[in-house]
Amino acid sequence: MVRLMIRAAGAVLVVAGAAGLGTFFSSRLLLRLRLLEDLRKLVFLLKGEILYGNSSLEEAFARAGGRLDGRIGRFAEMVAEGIGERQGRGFQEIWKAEMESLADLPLDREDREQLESFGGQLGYLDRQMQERTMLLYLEQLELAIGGLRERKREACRLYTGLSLAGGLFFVIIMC
Amino acid sequence: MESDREWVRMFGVKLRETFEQLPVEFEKLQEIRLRAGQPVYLWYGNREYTVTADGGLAESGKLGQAGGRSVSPRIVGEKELRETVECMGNYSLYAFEDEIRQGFFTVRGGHRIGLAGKAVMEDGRLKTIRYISGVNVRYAHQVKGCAVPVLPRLFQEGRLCHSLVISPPRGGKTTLLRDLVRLLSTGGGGRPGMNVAVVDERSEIGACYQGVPQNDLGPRTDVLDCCPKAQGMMLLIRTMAPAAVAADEIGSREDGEAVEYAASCGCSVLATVHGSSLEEVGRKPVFRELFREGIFRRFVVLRDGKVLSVLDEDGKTAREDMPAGKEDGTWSG
Repeated sequence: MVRLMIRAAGAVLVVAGAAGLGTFFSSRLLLRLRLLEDLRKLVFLLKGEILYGNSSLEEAFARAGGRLDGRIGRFAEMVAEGIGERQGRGFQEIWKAEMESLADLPLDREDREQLESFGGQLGYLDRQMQERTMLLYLEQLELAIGGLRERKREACRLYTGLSLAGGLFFVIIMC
Repeated sequence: MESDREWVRMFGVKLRETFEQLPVEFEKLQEIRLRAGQPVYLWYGNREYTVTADGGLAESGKLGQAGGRSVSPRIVGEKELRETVECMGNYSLYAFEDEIRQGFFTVRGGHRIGLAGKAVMEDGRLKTIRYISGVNVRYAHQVKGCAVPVLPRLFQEGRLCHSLVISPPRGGKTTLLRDLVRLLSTGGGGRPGMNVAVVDERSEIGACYQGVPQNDLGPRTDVLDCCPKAQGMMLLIRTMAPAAVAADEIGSREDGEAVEYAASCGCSVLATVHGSSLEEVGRKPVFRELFREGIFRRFVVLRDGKVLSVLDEDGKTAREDMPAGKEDGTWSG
């Protein structure tokens, strides 16, 4: 009787664990979507600061960071702080160094490459060039966000379903 | 005010390393000149020095003999010059587009960065400067008290006259104007402080950072930063009702019209202009007109940081209308 109860408890734990795994993957996907949306907000704010306020990158990132919550807001503030420290490094170096603070976030390789390239182009040439750089990045973000939104429901269901099925399959094999 | 080694922070890493070793006091530092492939020159205490490769200073012309040993100059590389310009512009040279069109931009602290390189033209007008090959850093210094001996001579019957400060470049115009603004705004010696409006087109007077003056301009001073003088003077008179309005380096026809407008509004005007004498300035078309109308009633002529004369509208030495200050009126920059 005790053995049966232990087996049942094990099975429940395996299924719950598998369901948790599914939820974890779903939440990462949703978090990635939210991060990309936050990045889009950041670019919109930067665009306003740079094009209409003629702010320097330091001012633009500081103000935009102050208006955004979460990790992306903090990232923007850190970029502003990096510039403000005036260590004589290039902006690209500062950008790359601050990007490391996003290493634990569920952004995929393409997201990171686009973000890095965006930082690499900022500050180059005139205001028109800044606008183009921001528009290009916004376009890339729109595509990524659109793609994610399209497959969000389907992917979440798939993650949860597959995890549960995997858990049940494991339980059956174990029993 | 700039502290300790703060002045080196505008340079790229390699140049910063060199400058950090230099035995210089910021207060005496006037200019640094950087040219691609050429030595670094410093104007320090009214003398030109060459920066040596080992991080020392040698008086220009005596480079090979410094300390009886062979010394080579510190040569500026093209790449480090480019990096330095980026650092100076806070990686945001686009934000200085309008200023760069005039050949310079002003950085935090009010220091002026002059540029030389390849001019990019558009419709016959200078659009920007690219491939920068020469940089001249002119350090701004606030010398509190330098205007104390001058100020009493700018008053007549207790009223501040429209005054023009005249000096060649690096003569100390902006430094004197800044202190005049501070003294007028603060008041003292029985004279009440007055509301002063400053149109700081190049951010040199107030050295504003995010709109807030970093230099002490007194408690009753309103600064309109980065605004063209003519536009700014009219705007401030309408909006801030100042008793005096100050602007640096007037020269265009629009500036002249704005001075006339300000003077006709009951507002005292304090302005500066490049020149070595009253006569020389009077030959400029804009000033010929202003002088003919008798708008300016006091002229302060400076050279090398010293007040040569304070003249009235008849070209005679202006007498003090208030008790004189105690300082000798000598400063640099």
